[in-house]
Amino acid sequence: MLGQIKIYLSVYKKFLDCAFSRATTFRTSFFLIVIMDLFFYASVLGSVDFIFQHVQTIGGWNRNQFLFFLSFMLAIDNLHMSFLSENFWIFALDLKSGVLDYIFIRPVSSIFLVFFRSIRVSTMLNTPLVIYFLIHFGARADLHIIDFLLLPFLLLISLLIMVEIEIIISTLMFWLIEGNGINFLRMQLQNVARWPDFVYGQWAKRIFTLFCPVLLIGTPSVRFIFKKSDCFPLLLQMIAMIVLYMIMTKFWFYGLRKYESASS
Amino acid sequence: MEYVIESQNLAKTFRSYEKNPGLWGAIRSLWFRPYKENRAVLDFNLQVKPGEMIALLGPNGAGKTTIMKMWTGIIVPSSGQVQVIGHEPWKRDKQFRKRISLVMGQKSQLWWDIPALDSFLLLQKYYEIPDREFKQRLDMLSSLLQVQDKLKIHVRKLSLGERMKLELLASFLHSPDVIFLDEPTIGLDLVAQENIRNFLLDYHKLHKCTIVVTSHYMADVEALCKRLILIIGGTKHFDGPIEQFTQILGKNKIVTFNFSKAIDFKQDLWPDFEPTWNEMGNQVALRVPTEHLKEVTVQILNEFPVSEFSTEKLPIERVMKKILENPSLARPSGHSSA
Repeated sequence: MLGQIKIYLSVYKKFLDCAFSRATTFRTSFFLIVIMDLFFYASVLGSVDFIFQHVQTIGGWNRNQFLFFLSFMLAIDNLHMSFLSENFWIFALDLKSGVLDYIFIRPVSSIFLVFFRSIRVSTMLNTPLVIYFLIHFGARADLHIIDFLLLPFLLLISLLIMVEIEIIISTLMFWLIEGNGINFLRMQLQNVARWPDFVYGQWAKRIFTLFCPVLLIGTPSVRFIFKKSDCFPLLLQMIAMIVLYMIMTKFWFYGLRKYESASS
Repeated sequence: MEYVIESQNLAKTFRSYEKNPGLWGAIRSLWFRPYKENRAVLDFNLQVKPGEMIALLGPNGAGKTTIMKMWTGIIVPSSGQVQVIGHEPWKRDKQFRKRISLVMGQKSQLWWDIPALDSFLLLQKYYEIPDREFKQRLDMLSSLLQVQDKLKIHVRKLSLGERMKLELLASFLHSPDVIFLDEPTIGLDLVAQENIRNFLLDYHKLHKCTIVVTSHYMADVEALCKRLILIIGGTKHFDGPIEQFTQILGKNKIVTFNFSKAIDFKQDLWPDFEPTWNEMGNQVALRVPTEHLKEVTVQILNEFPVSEFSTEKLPIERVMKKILENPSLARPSGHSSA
């Protein structure tokens, strides 16, 4: 087991090397993505800040709590954009072009190769800024030092749930072949997850918690940080992570069997 | 292990639908799709011994690549059984994947925007090749392929021939036991084709691995393989030595005559030997049974103003062309001659 982890870490290190090598080849694109991400962060935080100039609380959360939640989601988004996002788009293209043929004959997990191989280095440059938002708004929302220590763990769980949901959805591409619809669906679900669960109505909340659990990505973790006695959503988050992992691996296995490759 | 590859009644069916052209066709296809099944491979039986170098030959759409994809575990057979180095490929055991390799002339495994060496280092990690062994193999393969000076150049900046050599290098790095080459020389100029053929011959001589090649270039097949498998319409039509293949149309020789002036090609003599005339009417290639070679040659030399003549074996290309025109010449064969 330890040996396997070592192998996968060494492969991932090579992915990083290749990503840096590729990113620095196209310098203009590299810096444009950095700037584009900054605009995105500014628009998300700025729009909520504007709303809080007119109201005191939303769903029981004050300005700093809400901005901390958004920073938490931006951190997940940053990690997702840095380490995963591109792979979902590439998967759709590779599936149609037959490039996946080579990936499926490698002696490494196909899920790992398909969804973790492409890394967007330019977005990683913004990671310190996102961490700054998280610490800044966390401090303003009166977070304890323990809360800050818990953050990496909670971020990881949230990110894993998001990735598992997205891989399950993307596996549908084996049947549908055309991936644009699936990728736009993924993006819309990311938008749903970007807001706390209390902004949704009863039915929407149920659907997005139990059926397509995107609301389990961020809200339970942040709610747990604000109120330690409220750990049921966190438990739900853990269960979702395990169940989604099992569904993901099974579904991927069926997807692989469905793969027909592209004719050459 | 007696056989490296064993296929029994292997079959693959793909499902596709027909769509009428135009806007109405597109709208209609949203809810009405007349599906049809395409049997790409049908009852395919074959055994390959360790160290063999075989060629799968056939026209476009014959099923060669589909068979190769089933042997490598990329796609799952619809029915039948297949074992490659003792594994069922579609189960994708790690040990199986470590021992095979695939090169596709029309698809690239190298990362386009980075130098090939970066891709090779990545492959080193995939296949867990120790540093020292990796360096030795990289040195050996790059010198065999004469690409030492191309390793650090971005792949997108390389010519097709150079890229293909690096694709081969990538596939041979982990010392695979079975190598599948799907049209490895496609699109290459004659010199590049020959370089790659020479590399494959040298490598095979050195390592005694099993190699399966598909190619549209008969020169590849003739130069590389002793055993040939002809596939037409997803079924095996021939399996045996190349010499036997060229004798499907009988023991014939091609005799080419050049004449000092144009010849009347309506004479009774010519049609018996399937003549191919040039436009000027002063050159003809005849397919002559070996036993009649002497008398026919003497007769033509005596009756016509021959300035030059030459004989050659029936080229594999010509046999292939004849069989494609009339597939019944090579009857489907279910058994293997391995």
